[in-house]
This record gives sequence, structure tokens and C-alpha cells, in this order.
Amino acid sequence: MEDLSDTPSVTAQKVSTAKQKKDTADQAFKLGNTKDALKAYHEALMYLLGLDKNALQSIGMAAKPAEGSSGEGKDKERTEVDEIVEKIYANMSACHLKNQNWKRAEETANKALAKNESNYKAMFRKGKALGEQGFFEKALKVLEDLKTKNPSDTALVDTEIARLRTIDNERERVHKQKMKGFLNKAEKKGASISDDVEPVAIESGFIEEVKE
Amino acid sequence: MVLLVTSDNEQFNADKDVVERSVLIKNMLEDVGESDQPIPLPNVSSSVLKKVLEYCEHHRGEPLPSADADQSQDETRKRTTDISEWDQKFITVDQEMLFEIILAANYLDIKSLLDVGCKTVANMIKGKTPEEIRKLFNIVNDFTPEEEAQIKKENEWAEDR
Amino acid sequence: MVSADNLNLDVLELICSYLSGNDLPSVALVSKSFLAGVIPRLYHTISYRIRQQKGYETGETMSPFASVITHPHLAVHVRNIEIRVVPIVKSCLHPVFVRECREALKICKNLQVFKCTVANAVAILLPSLAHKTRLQEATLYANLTTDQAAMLHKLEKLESLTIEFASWNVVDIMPAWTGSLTKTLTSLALYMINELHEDILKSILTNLPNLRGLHVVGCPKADHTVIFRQIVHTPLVETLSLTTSENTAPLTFPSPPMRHLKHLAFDTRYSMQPSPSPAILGSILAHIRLSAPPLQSFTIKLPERKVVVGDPFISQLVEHYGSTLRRLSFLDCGVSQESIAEICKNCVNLQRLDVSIPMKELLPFTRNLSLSKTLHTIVDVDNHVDHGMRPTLKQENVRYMMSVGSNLRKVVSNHRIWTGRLDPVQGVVVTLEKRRSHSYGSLWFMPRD
Repeated sequence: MEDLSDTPSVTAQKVSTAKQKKDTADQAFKLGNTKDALKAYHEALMYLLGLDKNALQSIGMAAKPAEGSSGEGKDKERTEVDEIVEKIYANMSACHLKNQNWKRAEETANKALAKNESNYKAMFRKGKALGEQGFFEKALKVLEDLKTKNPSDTALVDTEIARLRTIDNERERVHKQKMKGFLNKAEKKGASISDDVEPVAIESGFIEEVKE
Repeated sequence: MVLLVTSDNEQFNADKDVVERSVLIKNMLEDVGESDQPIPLPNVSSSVLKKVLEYCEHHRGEPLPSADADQSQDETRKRTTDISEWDQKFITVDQEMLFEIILAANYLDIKSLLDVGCKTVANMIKGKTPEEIRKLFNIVNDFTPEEEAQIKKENEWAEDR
Repeated sequence: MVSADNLNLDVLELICSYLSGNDLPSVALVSKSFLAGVIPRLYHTISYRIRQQKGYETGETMSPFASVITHPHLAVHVRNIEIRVVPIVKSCLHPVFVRECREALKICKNLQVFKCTVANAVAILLPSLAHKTRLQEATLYANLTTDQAAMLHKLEKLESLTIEFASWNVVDIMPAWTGSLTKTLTSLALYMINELHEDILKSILTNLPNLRGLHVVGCPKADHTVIFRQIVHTPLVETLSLTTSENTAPLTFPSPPMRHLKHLAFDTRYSMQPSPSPAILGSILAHIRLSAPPLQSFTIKLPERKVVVGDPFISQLVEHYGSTLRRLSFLDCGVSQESIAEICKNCVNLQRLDVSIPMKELLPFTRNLSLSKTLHTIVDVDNHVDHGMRPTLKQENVRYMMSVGSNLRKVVSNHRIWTGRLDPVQGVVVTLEKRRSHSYGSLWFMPRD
């Protein structure tokens, strides 16, 4: 069977090609051309993902396998490739935010964070994407966490939190307005279900029960 | 129809809904839109992509697993290594192809295929001693005897005699 | 050549997630990369029981906690810790072991489940559990002093709680503690607690209106009459376990709403001859029936093995709930062949039966089982007694059972799991998997798969 694995030079070339594509993408993004940027980022990923660790090792890019008998865990396995991939995902997230594609922004931010959970830009973008999708509680959690980890960004993060809160409040107001007539009927019904039991006031839970 | 190009420069034509079982490709198509330009897959060879497309073709139309599916699983329970009959036949290949398929499924982000591959490897490992596992997969023992003894002692509590 | 050597860590971890038991330490010894891949799965659950204890005092074996302390990076993977036994030295808990435990607990930041059923160990370990934000489930042997009991408040955000053999000091703080757990607690088990009386139970349940699982077993002051009075506070209960006594006081009318009840377990205790118990059990079934719950599983445990569960009771059970019952468990009691037949005929969704397999009546038993078109699993529940007296189930027995025109595909007996598969040529092919029972140490009435 033919040897299907890469030689060191092929691998090195792939990494180099990927870096070029990333540069192209970065340029495109700076010019506001998100579509071209995303295309080039994707192509860069095609070259970087799936490079097997032995191939990387052979060009001196892999971290040494664990010292110590029990294996020292995931952090040691980060390679230069991981760093580039992380940056690519973080930048893709920025592109998606610009395109207001919140779901993809969240997904790509998560991918960046999977490579490096302290990528502050990715955290911010994730928080923003969550908030824009209506998951204010989740967004708040992420952004508060970000403030703790990177206090220098506090002002920026607080502004975003305030902005998302306003959006969330508005959303709730509209929702309540819609449910108003529905809730009134529910309250009358609710009184007969159980007289002396007060279920804990979890608003959405109450609405769910009414839907029956 | 989508055009794919492998590491050995072979071109493959496939339906969109077949290739979109690869989340990597799906995201690209979604983000960038379709074009006549072929998608480069420099980390998959043609012989492997052929197998992968065969899998995707057979499973086309099935719902893709959600992103959170894995996290919510109760990890304490023994996970089933059951594989459907067709998948079983499909994955009966020589060891090298098995690992190629696994790596490709990981690269292309085709979770169900990756699971089939990993379950197969897990089934091969079950019940074997460390030496038997090494022999089976041609793995070099890179522990010193002292390291080995220490690991054995530290993990002895987990042995299910 | 592409081989297992090329696999990256994520893939190795995924492969290892399909392994369990002995395979995990085996994989750990293969190579450095395999070790790295197996660690998350290997250290996910730490279980310390009798077998692990052997050799600890002589230094021949290490505790898993010592391993975690030596390699702190392992701590992040630990999600479940279960301590069923603690090595003893000079009638005291082994101080080194306890220290190792405490230190390991402190660094296991992702701990989700903690179980300790060793008297006197909980008090020492409790401080290390304080403020673990991810701790969801706790099982504690709670004979604590007042000061120690006060520490329980630091277990916040619990979703599932089992308290065994609690002292009055613990019972005393339960209302306040459950008050702080209102938003999160969905399952509560109170086991063998002498001091648990109705007023306290009422205070506790009033705090937990969203409770889904309630188990009050072996608490002499909280029998079925008490439960049915207080369960009004927890109308969402889906799983209920209770102790039935010989108290013939009528159950309160109207019956409490139990519309969501899916799983019911009776711990039935009696001593009188004749006993009012059968009538009491019948009246409980009738009482619950008024809510028409879609009962899926029913378990009953009697005090002595030689007693046979009354046919009229089973008839009533099958009549009321035959259409929804999927699983029946008869622990420490016998079931007549007539009742087996009735169950299999009329419980049209029956999937699993836990019962003492009558070795001397295997033929009629199997015939009766074949009356069910849906039954696929039998679990033999009389493993731990009468070893000499009872012949063990053999492969040919199992094969016979599975081939008599039924859907039976799994038989569990004496830590052996037999699975059968229908081969077009060979007929029923039975394979054996020896496995340690997962539920070792778990309370019999707690839900399992």
C-alpha cells in the first residue's frame, strides 16, 4: 500500500500555505470584506486541521510527549498550529458578528476557546453573540467571567453588558405584552389546581404548565 | 453538486446534502456560499475520501448530532459500543484504513463516522492486556520499567479483578 | 504507515470513553500517549470499596486519593467520588487515608457527585466539600454533632440528596437546609432515620414543592400514613419510595394529587400474625389510583424471603396499572407462578422483571414468561443467600429460557449477564459477560437503569 502520510517538507508547506491564506483573510477583514475573509479563513483551516501529530513532530512543531509517568495533560500538546487555528476561529467570530450571524459567531468563538480558554477576544465575542441571540443570562455569565479574568477590559465589557441588558429588557417587555391576555386566563385556572400550594415563582415554568 | 479535491489531486463530485454531513464543509458552504471552485481537502487522500463519501451517501438525510449531544451524556454509565449492521460491514477494513477513516472523520468533523471508528477500536481493545494492545496496534512501549511500575501502582485501585 | 500512533489526544480520549472497568488501567500502561488519552475516563469516577482497601495498611496498595495528590493535574477530571469503606487502624479511621482524602477533595474542583456511607468519615470530610460549585449529588451517612451538622449548609445547589442514619442534630437542621435548596433540589432520600417525625418532614417538604423524587424508607416515625398526609406539598413527585407499616389508620381523603407518579417502591414491614399489611397495601394502591398516575415501575421488598406476595395484591396491581407498567421488582419475597402468568399476560408493556428465579420450577416459570410479548430482561434477585442450597443458573438454562418463543434477551444472575441474540442458523446464541454489579452499595429503592 502506498505511504499515505506526509513527509516533513509537505507538512511544512501546508502550514506555510495556511499562514498565507490567513494573512489574505486578515487583510480582507481589515477592508471590511467579510465574505472573502471567511473564505480564506476556511481554506486556511482546511490545511491546518487534520495534520497528524507525527507529521508535526517531524518538522519540530509538536510539543514533546508528556514527561513524568502519569502524563501531564492537555496543555502540553499545544503546538504552533493550535495557536494559528485559535486565531483563525477568533477572527472568524469577528466576521460573523459583523455579518450579524450570531449563531456562527458563537460557534466559532467556542472553537477558539476550546483551543485556549483564556482568549479574551473570543470570550467577548461569545458573550456578545449569546446576548444578541436572547440568552442574556448565559451572556452575562461569560462576560462577568471575562471581567474577572481580564480586568483591563472592564469598561468595554460593562458597556456591552448594559447594551445587551437593554435589548433583553425590551425583548421581555414585548413578550409580556403578548402573553398578557393569555396570563390572565391562566391565573384564574391556576387558582383551582391547588389551593394551599404555592409553587415557587419561576415565571417561565408557570407559563409552561399553563400550555397544557 | 460540490467539488472536492484531495491531497493526491483527485477530484470528487458529490451532492451537497451528502458532503454536508461533514460539519467542516457544511460550515464553509454556509459561510461562504457555493461556487464552482473546488474545495481543497489537503489532508485527505482519495482512497480514504472514497470510503468517507460512501458512508455519507448511505447516511444522507439522517439528522446531524447536535453540538451538545456529547456533554449531556452521563459518562458514568457504560457507553454502548453497538454498531449497526451496515456500519459494521463498512468499517471492516484493514487497520491502516481504519485509522485513516478515523483521522478523516475527525478532520472533516463527521461525528457519527468518528464514533463508529472509535467504537471499533474500543472493541478491539476490550479485554486485552497492555502488551496485547501494543502488539495489536504496533505501538512502542515508551515507558521505562520504573515508570511502568509506578503507573501500575497508582492506577491499581481502578482494576476490576 | 498510519497507525494508532498517529491519533491525536482528542481521538484517543473518545476511544477511551467507550471503555470501562479493567480496560482503563490496561490502556494506561500501553504508552505515554495512550495514558494521556485514558486519564479523563479513568479518573472520572473514583470508587473506594472493600476490594480497594486490601493492602492499604501494609503499603502494598495506594489509595486513588494519593494518586490524585501526587499528580494534581488529575483532579480536574474527577467528577464522582464514592467512599464505601475506610481502612481502620487501631479501631480508628486510618489517619493517612483520611488526610489523603481531604487533600484530594480540596483540589477536585469539578466534583459533581459525592457519596460517603462510612460512619464517622463524613464529619471529617465535610469541610473539604464546602462551596464546591459543581457538586450536584450527595449521599451521606449523617451521624453528626450539632457543629458538624451546621457545616451541611455549605453544600449549596444540590440537586439530589440522600441522608442515611442521621442523628437528631442533622434532622433538626434539615428544614433550614432544604429551605436553601429550594431552587435546585429535585430528589431527596431519607433512610433509616429514627428521629424523622411528621412535623419535620412537613417542614422539609413544604420547602421543596418542585421535588421529583421522594424516598422515605426505614424511618419508624414516617410510615405510609405520614407520607400520604405530607405528600400534598410535593405534587410533582415522579418517583416515590416509602415504608408501609401495620398502622391501619385510614389514609387521608381526598387523596393527594399524584398525577406524575411513574415509579413506586414499597418497603413493607410487618410482624403481626395475621398481618393487616395485605389490606393496607391494597388500600394504598386504591388511594393512588384516584390520581390515575401512569405507573411504569413498581418495587416491593418484604422483610423475609420465604413469604410469597399475595395473589390478590398482584391482581389488583395488574388491574390498575397493567397498561403502563414496564418494570416489576419483587425483592426478598416470592411470587407464585399464577401471579407470574397474570403479570406476563396482562402487563402489555412489560420490559423487565426482577424476581427470584425459581430454579426448581424453571419450566413452568419460562412458560409463564413467554406469555409476555414484550419482556426482554430478567434479573435474578436472590444472589446473596442460600449459596449451597440453590443451584446456580447455567448457560443451557438461559438458552432454554430465551428460546421458548419470547422476546427475552437478557438474563442477569449472580453477577453474570447473559445476552442472547437470534441467529437465523443457530437459533438463540447466548453470550456471557461477567460484570461486577454497578449498583453495589446503592440503596435498593433508588432509581437505576
